[in-house]
Amino acid sequence: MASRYGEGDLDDELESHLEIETQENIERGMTPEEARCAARRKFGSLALAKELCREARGLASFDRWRQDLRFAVRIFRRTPAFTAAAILSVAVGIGATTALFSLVDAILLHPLPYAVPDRLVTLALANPKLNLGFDELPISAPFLRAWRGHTGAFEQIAEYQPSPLTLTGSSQPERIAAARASVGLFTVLGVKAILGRTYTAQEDQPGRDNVVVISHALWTRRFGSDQGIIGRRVLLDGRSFTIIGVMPPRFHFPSTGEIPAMYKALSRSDIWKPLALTPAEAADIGNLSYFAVARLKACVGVAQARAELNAAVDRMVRESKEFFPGWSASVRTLADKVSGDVRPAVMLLFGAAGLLLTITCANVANLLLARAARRRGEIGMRLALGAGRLRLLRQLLSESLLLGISGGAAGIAIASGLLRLFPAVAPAGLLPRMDEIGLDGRVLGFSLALSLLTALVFGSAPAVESLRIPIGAALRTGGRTAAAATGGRMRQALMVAEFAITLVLLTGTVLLARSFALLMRVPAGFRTENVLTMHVPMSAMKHWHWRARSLYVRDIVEKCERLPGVQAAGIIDQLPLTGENNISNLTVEGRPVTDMSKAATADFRGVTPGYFLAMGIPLKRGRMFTNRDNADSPGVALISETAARRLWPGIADPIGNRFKRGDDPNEPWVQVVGIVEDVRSSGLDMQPRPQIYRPYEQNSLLEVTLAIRSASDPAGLAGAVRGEIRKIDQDQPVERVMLLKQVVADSVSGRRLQVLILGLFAGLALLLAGVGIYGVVSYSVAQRTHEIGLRMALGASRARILAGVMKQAGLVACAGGAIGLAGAFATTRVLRGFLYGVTATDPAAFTAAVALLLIVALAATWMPARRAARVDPMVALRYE
Amino acid sequence: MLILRTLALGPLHGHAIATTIERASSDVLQVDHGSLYPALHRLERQGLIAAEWGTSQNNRRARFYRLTASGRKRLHAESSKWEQFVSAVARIMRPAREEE
Repeated sequence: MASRYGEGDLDDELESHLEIETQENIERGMTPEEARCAARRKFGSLALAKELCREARGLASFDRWRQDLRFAVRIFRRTPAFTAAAILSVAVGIGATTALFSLVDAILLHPLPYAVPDRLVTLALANPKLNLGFDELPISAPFLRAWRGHTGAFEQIAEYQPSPLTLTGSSQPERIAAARASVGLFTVLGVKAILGRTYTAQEDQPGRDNVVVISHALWTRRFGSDQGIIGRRVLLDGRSFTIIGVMPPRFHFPSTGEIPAMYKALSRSDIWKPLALTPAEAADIGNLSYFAVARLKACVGVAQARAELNAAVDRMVRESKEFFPGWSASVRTLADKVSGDVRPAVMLLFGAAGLLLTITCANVANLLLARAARRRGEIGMRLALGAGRLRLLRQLLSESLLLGISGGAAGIAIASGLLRLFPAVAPAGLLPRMDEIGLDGRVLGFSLALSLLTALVFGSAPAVESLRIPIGAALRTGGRTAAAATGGRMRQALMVAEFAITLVLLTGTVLLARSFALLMRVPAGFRTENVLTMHVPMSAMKHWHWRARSLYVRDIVEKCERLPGVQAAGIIDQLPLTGENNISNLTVEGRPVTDMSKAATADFRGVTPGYFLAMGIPLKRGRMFTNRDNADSPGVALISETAARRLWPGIADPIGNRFKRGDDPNEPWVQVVGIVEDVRSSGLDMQPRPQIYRPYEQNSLLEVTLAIRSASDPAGLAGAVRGEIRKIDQDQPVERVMLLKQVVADSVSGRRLQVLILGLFAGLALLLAGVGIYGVVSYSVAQRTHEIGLRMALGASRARILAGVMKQAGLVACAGGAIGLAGAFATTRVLRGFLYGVTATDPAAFTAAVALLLIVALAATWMPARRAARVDPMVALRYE
Repeated sequence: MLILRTLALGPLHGHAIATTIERASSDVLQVDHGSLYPALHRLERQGLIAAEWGTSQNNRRARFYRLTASGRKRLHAESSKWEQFVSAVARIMRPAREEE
């Protein structure tokens, strides 16, 4: 077959037959009209012949599909409101599911961008007895040495330590996330530099380690993709380093997820410098501050690796005085470490998107059913003319596919928009692998497949209905009365399903929202109004001596206090709720510790006297620090209420008691001079841990954060404070300038995002369900106009008609609500891990959700119900 | 089978096929013109006949059908089957006539 035989060809062929016959008839003596009539009669039904020809040619004909699609497009164009509603519904469902799938794909399904990533594991220490709130702890250098030397499970182990650096030079000083990493890091991950090289073992030693490797992003951003970058020198923290290599694009190990949540502020590393441990660092067994990533040998499993590491840990704990029993090694695959924590939340939201998609399917099915009912006359006619039911199904299917594909395309556009908005609601560092999120080939393929599947699903409803059309009835009544009986049931069932699913989404949202609200009302221990904070990372080169640091810091605080509008200013090493802490065990005077596993631990902070005033942390007993508490005066401390209770249980007033950090007998005792209110520093949803504050001069660290309380809006102060700091040292960078309120908000940004997204889905579901029931009831009222008119003529009042309609809709909503409640009971169990302060079966939440559903259902049916009540019996009875 | 037999003599367009069958059977067989075309298209799909557009005698554009090789083979098979059937029926019918 050279060319395709199309619809036009069929017309031509049959027409030419008729013409020839007509011509022959004329030759036989008939008039042209008679000739034509006779020819037509002899031929029989033209439409039937065409239909049979089309069938005889087989379904494989491409033209058949084209014809179906053209027909479908014509129909859709004639009813723009219907088409728009259907396409929009599909778009919402597909858009939400596609957007969430791109999250699932990037975070959970994509293999990590390293060589043979399923052989990569992270190593850590664990000790459940410490009860610190996190399962894994960093490692110290001697452990790593032992693990390297005595285990055969790994091809290679690499250690690293996040270590932010200040880059100074030609432009603004900039604080860069960086990592001190052993030379094996690049080999373990299997990544090579694209320009230059990574450092060697010789360079990984103190004194020879002034080389760095930079990320592609930094190279582009700060150095303008300069090809001559290799060999250039830069100043990092005041020290001169040579750039020897540039890493490939999108390599930022360690980034969010690859390091514990403690370092949330550091979302991706841009500079790598050699670890270069000094002999002191290498021997310090108690300094748990290194992280490790390793590559397992080919046939070794995680369990075996863990067993080997544990053997080494046991040996070391036995030989060392500093460690007490209970320590073990923790081995996790890198993939699990990166995304394991967020997996439940991402899957929850993906599931919710799926539920929303189901609702949109039900909605579109309803719309199609309504339209199929109206077309019964046309369909009956076609069936009577001999069109096969299969042919009809194909027609309906092509309409559904057209809807599905157009809705899917619109949905992809919606998903693209949502993903572009995403970084605005999800701060950097909240989710791992955020720069891998996007609409790539796999996500688009998923979206297409989903569109086709949903088209088949919602298309099956009108298809099934049309198969049951009795031809005679359809032709006779024009389809109206029959439709109300059969099609109506399926539509009601779909509405019940829609309401049930909507209730599940609503309940989940209410539970999460209540959790969030309860969490935000938890007293953090400090007052957040009008407090500005900023991080002041001091340079190790300039401020290596603690006295210099103390003076510098005091200078900054005094200058800030003198600014107009400032009520108080103070410094702490790390703000609460930023996930950073400095935990040590301690010894209480008079209670020597024999078993260190029973020793108390506390969070140690260094503060200036004005800190508590600036943060609004009230003093409960005793006195505050003053400027006289400095390096030369006896050691003092302010402790939190929890610390007081834990360290001296039963003693009402521990002021004057002494303790010391660690258990070194040469370390001087520190005296408690006051008790302050508890601060929830690890998280609003966690119990406050014991806090011990030392005067900055007695516990001076390089990393400090400034907190400034002003009389009114402090945002305007930022510039002034920066100015003051620059007056003292113009190269001092300042980062993370934000209001204290923002710090608190960021600490719960994960929960907030969950509530937002789930709430969005629930809101859309409610909207769709409302629109759905509006449609169903409107249609039903229109169908039964005759019956309503009859009833009114027989004496029913308008109010009764209205009540009748509302009651019917109410029954649907209640049925849906009941099923939804059962569904919610079953599914909100999965929410248990996400809730705070409410149980998964909180009755108040369930009641609120049900009430909201009923209100929306009744509101949506109000208008069609009123229309029913306004029916004029005279018009209705005449209406056929 | 009748269509195939008619086309064995040469390509014809739809109307001509119908008239040929009617004439050849001395109008005993009346061809329902409407059901002719579905049959033609079915045969075409099965590959037993092939078609292309041409001009008829009165200069009209018409679709001409011709027998393909497989169509010829099928005709042969069907014809011999038909002849077997006819002779079988004849053998059954003939003894009665002889008795008569």
